[in-house]
Amino acid sequence: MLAVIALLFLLLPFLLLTTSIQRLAGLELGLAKTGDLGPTAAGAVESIDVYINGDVLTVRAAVRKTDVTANEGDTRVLETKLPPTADGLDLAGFQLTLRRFKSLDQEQERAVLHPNPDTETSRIVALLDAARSDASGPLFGEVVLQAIQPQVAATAP
Amino acid sequence: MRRRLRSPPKATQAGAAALTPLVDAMTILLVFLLKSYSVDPPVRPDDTNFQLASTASEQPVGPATDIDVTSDGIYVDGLRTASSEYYSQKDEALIRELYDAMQGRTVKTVNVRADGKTPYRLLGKVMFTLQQAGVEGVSLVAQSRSGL
Repeated sequence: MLAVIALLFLLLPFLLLTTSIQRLAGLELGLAKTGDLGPTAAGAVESIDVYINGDVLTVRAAVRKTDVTANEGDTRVLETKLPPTADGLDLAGFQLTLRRFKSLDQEQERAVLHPNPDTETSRIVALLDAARSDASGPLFGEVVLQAIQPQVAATAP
Repeated sequence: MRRRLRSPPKATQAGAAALTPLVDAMTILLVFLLKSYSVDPPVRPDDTNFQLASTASEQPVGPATDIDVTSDGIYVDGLRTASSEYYSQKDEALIRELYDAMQGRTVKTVNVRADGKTPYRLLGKVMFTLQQAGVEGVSLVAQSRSGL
């Protein structure tokens, strides 16, 4: 017993002195300009775009038409607008929307985020987290951050 | 004077029982510390305004070129290369100084450590510049909630 206590007394100060109070995590990002994205899985949902404008989120999914003659690219756009909640962004509603689209096409792994020029990095990180997984499991493994375009920068105040 | 050697007193059962809660508490503390143990150095400890965004992710940060985006400047591996204020207001999307700093580097992966309040107007320009400079992998670094 005394040996165990002695070992604990040695280990605890060592760990307390050497540990860092912050642990860093890296969120891998895909960067793409419009048109640079490679092909995605040819499923029912061809693309998912998330637009961030202040506290309002807009999720647009291009879903392939169910018509038997419909080809690739022959899609209809389903748009969901998520107004802000008391806490800010409606992340729970955002995850529910993404889960709905994921259930339409399990193969689709890519979602593209289009932040507003005023969107803060902390919000982008929160959305990246929300888009990757929810309580039910993983959502979209490949979250692409839309690179700012020169013309977008030009229109910024 | 002759000293008598005595054997140490044996721990009584009551003494051992009194130590058990202490050992339990220390074991719990040890497990907690081991689970949240981190050797990541603090990011920009001299800048009191700098605060990384927090994330639920626990994916560790790999070795790469560190690019810090703070309210006053853009730093490449700790060296200030450009002004944040200037490029926040400027129309040009390419940050020339950052582009030049990335050109001579063989490592084509970067860790972008941006302050949580950095607007996408600036972060997007950093990303655009990295893309133009041929960077292949970009990680956005955030503070994991699993830390202490």
